[in-house]
Amino acid sequence: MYGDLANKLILDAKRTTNLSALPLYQGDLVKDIIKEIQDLNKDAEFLEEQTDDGDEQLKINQCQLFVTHLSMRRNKRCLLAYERLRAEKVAEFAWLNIDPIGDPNATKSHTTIADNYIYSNYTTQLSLDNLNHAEEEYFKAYQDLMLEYKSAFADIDLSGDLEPPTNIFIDVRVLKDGGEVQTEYGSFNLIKDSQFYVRKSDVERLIQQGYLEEL
Amino acid sequence: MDIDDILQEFETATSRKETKKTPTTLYDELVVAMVNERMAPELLPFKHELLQKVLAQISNQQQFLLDSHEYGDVNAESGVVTGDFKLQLMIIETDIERINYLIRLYLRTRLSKIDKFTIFYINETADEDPDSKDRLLSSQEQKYMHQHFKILTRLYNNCFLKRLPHTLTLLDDTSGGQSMIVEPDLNQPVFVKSITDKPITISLGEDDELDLVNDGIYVVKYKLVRDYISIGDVVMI
Repeated sequence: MYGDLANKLILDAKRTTNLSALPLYQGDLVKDIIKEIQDLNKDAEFLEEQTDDGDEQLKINQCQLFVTHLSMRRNKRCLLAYERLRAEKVAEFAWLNIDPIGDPNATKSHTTIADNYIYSNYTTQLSLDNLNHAEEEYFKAYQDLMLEYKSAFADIDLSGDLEPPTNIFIDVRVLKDGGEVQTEYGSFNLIKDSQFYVRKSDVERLIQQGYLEEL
Repeated sequence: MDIDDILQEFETATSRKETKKTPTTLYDELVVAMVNERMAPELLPFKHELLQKVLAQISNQQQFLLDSHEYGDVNAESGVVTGDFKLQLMIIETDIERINYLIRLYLRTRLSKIDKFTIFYINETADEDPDSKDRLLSSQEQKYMHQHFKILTRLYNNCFLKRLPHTLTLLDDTSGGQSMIVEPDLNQPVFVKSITDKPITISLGEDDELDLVNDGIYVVKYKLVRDYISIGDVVMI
């Protein structure tokens, strides 16, 4: 049936909406759908040329042509919806300002961020391997775009937490080792399982990157 | 201590020659602008003046904070600096953080709406005068919108559109009975509160009317109160 493939794609997209990481690009499926559209287009062209049959045949042809056009359009919309969702996820991730995962083996250490309730609906992981080439380009272009937009508001951390702030100082626990961190109020070392009382805006990046956990 | 006191303190602490009315109203204005923006289904006109003022004040405060910290550090041993001094600085800092958050939310909400209705707003703002004061978008947003649309289109083209038959490559296709341009839904019900003494009467069609009294809270279709929101007689909650 025409449209079945697109349906599969949409189901995949629906699953993606609730994931914190972007799944693999469905390259083959997309290719198949494009092929289906091209076939349908050929059908349509053929049907348009068939004009010399009887009245009855003409009506049937027209009906078939109509359905063919509808199927093509539907496929196109499904493709767009799928890609749009992925683009949105990529953009959402870009706002969080975390480095994407290049090495698939490194994914494990990043799961802790997703457990944090604030980010449960966010795209907190992005593996560059799961993007196709065009998407990678888009990711880079969007990062540049975002930087440009943010540069107009130097004093405001636009990619910060969207939850209302309560305290400027918070308790944090270190989740993994890192180097020394310099803040306005002195410096501290990131040693696993140690706890600090620090200014939130200083460590927000570190929380997003999974080095620290807010208590 | 409530926000007014803190803002009052701001004023005395920095000894800026601000007129008396601005500090409190500026904060309130920002809150109203932010909440309205968050609740409205469509993009509201960008608050050019408000944002400009708030941003200027924030950078003033930040400079003041820096100076004060320096002052505190230098005089820490001589006993000139009391515990209250640190506390005051912290209060200011907390407040900056809060206003920061408001602006962040305001701008990000706008961006998400721009992303959602990109083509609609590109068409909408196409013949706006770029120098006029009451443009819908700020110049940064304008730039962001066009740029984002460009890279999105490139993404679509590279992924599949370039391989489709030519008739199907349009992104703003309205043929076939279905428009592909996403538009804001102005019929969406919103919660509003009237804040003016003048009674407002809105017509619900079919000879039905609804009176909005001062301080009353109502649920109405957005498009019915749209004009009142823009003049500020009604706020969204």
